[in-house]
Amino acid sequence: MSRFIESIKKDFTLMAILLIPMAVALNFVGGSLALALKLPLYLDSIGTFLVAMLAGPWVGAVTGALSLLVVSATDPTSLPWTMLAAFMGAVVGIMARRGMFTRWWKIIVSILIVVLASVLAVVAIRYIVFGGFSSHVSSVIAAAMIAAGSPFWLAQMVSSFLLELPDKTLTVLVVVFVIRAMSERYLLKFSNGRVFVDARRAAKLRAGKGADAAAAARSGEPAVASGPTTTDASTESR
Amino acid sequence: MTSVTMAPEAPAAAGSRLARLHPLTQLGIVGLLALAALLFEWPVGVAVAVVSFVLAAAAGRAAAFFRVWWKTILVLCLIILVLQTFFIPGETVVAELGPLRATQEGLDKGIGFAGRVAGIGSAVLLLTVILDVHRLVLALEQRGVNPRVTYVILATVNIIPEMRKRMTVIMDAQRSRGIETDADVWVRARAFIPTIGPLILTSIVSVEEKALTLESRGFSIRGPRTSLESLDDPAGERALRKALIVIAVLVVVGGVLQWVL
Repeated sequence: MSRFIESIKKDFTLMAILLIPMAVALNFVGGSLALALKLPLYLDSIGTFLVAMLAGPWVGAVTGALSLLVVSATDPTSLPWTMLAAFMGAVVGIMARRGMFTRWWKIIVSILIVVLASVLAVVAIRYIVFGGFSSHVSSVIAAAMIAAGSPFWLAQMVSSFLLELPDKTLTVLVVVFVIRAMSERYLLKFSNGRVFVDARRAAKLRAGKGADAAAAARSGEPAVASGPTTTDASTESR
Repeated sequence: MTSVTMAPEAPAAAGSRLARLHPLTQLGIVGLLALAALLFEWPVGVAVAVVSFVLAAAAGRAAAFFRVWWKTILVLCLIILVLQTFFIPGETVVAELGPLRATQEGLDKGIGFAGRVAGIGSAVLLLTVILDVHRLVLALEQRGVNPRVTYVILATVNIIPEMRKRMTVIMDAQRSRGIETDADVWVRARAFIPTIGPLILTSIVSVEEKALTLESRGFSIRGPRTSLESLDDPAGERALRKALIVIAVLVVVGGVLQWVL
């Protein structure tokens, strides 16, 4: 148990703690920017996802919960969504720790998982807390679908999926691009930074190997020389 | 969108007894109100909403309370009521409106949810108009909460206005470079990235600078700290908080009994 608590504490590095308020503010500003541009998206979890990817599920969950508490200060009816935001922070953090945001095919799979998790959580919270309908656009869509004869749960799922898919896709992509732009020195200050740095080095090696193989194919010799160096580098970086 | 809790002068402006209470006492009162609304049927929720409004008025913040209240809580409750009434299937049809049928079952369910939402929402809103985050943080520190936790709370409250200002500057700058912020939805969506991008990058850089500044001022040092401000916690309030805890336990027991019986 104490080892478990220690492992949580390790995620809360000084940099992670300083990033939390920034991320909460980013969520807040992203959300109000989406409103100002009149976009049909929330875009209020960029900060949460950024922190979750860099510092893991616990810091991500704290960031998500805190963001919604701040929103609740201006709109008390947002309070139940605190659970959703914390859950999403944790989901993204767990996936990031498993290296799910390092290669493009993994990122696409991750986006689908994130959207699915979000839809399920939204529908569950909306049903438990508000009885199925809230003051959001997706509730209007759900109501229209039910009026058109669609079953209750299908309407709930489809209506929130329509909003979550573009929203979470854009959010994940923005954060992935931001992390790609970060220096290794900066990444390593966070507990998950190692995952991204390793992936970056592996990608570089793959690219190098690909180039070697291409060069070898051109010269008609097999590319062997790059083999041992690859394994060395990857064991060393663990 | 300026929140009352984010204005440091909020309690001074109020100056009433309720606003001067110890932050933990305020939390206790609001928590008890919300708990009662959560555990009992909708009439209690409505009563909690009324009590919250009266308390906010007693603190001299009725206007601030009502302005947020009708725009968020009242609107949501009406939506819940209408949508539940028309879209929850039931046997007893109360009214018909074109293809839509209002059912008694839906109406009952709607009133139940709306009452709870109104009660809990109003209690939380009461907290936001009487609680001063700076005093809360001070109270937490005096009770030995890790300064890292209190830093996160305080910094969050302080950074948001600063960040909003930065966003306005970036948006103006990008607009002056010819970015469209009022065209159709695709054009507006494309304006999102060049606005949020610089904001993310500058905040990331500033995090590192903040880390250096805080480290050089002994942020992660261990040991006791002193505060520039002081916070009264009179014996009467400590007794009041104990009473609140006892009442809360009774409310929980009552609520559970009501479910069981």
